[in-house]
Amino acid sequence: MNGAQPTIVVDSVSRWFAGVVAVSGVSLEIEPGVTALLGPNGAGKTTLLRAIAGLIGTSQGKVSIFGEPVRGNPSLYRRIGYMTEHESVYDFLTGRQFVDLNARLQGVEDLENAVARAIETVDLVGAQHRRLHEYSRGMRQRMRLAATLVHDPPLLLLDEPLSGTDPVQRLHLQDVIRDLGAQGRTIVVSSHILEEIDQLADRIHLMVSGKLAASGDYRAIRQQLNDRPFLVRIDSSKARELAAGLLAMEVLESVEIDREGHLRVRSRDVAALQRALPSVAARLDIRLFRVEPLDDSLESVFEYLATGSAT
Amino acid sequence: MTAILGLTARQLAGSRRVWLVLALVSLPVLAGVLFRVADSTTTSAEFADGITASLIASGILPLVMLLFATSAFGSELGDRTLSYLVLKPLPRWRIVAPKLFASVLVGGLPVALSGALAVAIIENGNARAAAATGVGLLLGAFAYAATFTWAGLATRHALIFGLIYVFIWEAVLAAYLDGIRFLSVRQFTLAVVAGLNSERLDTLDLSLGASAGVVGACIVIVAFSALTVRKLTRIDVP
Repeated sequence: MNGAQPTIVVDSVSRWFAGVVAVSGVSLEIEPGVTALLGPNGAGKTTLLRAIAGLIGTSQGKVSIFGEPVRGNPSLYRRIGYMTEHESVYDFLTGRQFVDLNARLQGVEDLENAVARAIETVDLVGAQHRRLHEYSRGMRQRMRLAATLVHDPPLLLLDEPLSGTDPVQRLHLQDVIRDLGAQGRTIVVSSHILEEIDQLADRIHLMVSGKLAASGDYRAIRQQLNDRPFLVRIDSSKARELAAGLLAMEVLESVEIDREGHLRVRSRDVAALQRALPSVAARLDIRLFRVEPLDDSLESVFEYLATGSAT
Repeated sequence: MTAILGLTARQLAGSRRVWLVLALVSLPVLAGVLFRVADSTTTSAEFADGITASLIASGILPLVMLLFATSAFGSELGDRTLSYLVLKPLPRWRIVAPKLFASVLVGGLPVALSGALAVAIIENGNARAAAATGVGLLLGAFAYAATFTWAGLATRHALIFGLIYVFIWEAVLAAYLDGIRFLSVRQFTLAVVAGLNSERLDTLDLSLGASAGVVGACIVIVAFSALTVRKLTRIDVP
């Protein structure tokens, strides 16, 4: 904290839809720089971003941006650029017309230059006069980003901005976002892939099942995840031998065998458990039939971490 | 305002429903031409009144406005592009007003022109009768646009709401029950047409005068526009 007022204050925000809780009691403050909202699909990232942007109301709690409530306060949008997760655009417009429309609606004064600068930033000058329905998914994302930043807002909310981009486009967009953050803007980027935001965000808020599970930089998040015990059920051909082998590797906190003969192990170091399990099984000639995290709220974290590490 | 007006007009005019509308608005003109070329014992005034009241004001105008005005917001809710408009530093009425004007421009104006042209053909170039028809239909188009634009934003079943309003409320209930005629856009429309040209629609049982028609239509336009602004402020945008 630098003592300045945070750009975004989310205070005990919950939002539910027809009895389904999408976001539950989230409180956080976001300051200038690049901040990531990380979590598996369905974690509540988009709902939280939409509540921050004022697109939806909150069931409980408050959101303020630059010290003002955002809901029902359209003048605030002069200072906000929000790129939604939906890739839908006005297909019948050209890329340039689309950015121009957004600039006009934002009341941008130096229209021509602002539009040209935004399109140049996303490196789509050559394709600006093609209709949006002719664009690839990645190009569309980049033109949507140009439309989001055409009015040069100090706050950018980007919901899965790297989705649909190829590796080259992704690197370019990551550079663009990093540069915009370095210029003193507040940028919030959501992603479900840890690897995507590892080199991008100064700070990460991890959401799981609608709740804020952890906050910090990349290392802190990994540490907090590792510090939480995971309960995992392992279905194998020799449960007792496997338990003995894993205990010998010192990667477990506790182990028990349930009524069906499955192993239930508790570990704080899921990465070590992931490494030890196949090697112990191979060494002891044990067949592994199924490995299943039992904590629902952590299952998805487990999955995306595995996916993020593998890609 | 012009940016949203142009955008919405392109959205509405670019859709396939525009062909249906073209077919509908050509019907009164076709009927007028038929009247001129075919033998008939019906007077031109009676035929013009019938086309205006039974064909245009009771069918074509509300149907065309239903198709366009419910889509003014409805299609953007459906394809999730509404966020591009609401995430802008604009008072919400500056989003609603051009949407309303766009549906009148693309739907209401062609119907009003078609009605005026049809009456001019039937009445042998009677400019006053044609102008009265056009102005009345245009005012009715605005009232329908305000009502159905609100419905398109407020409910997913806006078309059903509109059909019930047009074919049950207006065509049956308000046509026969004097007590609820002040809640019928069709009645306002016809009252204005008759009020602007005293020779028109004298065969119909119109309990509203021209002033009442204008005031009624204006109240509908203002009230439903205000409801749409209110809804747009509070809606959860997909």
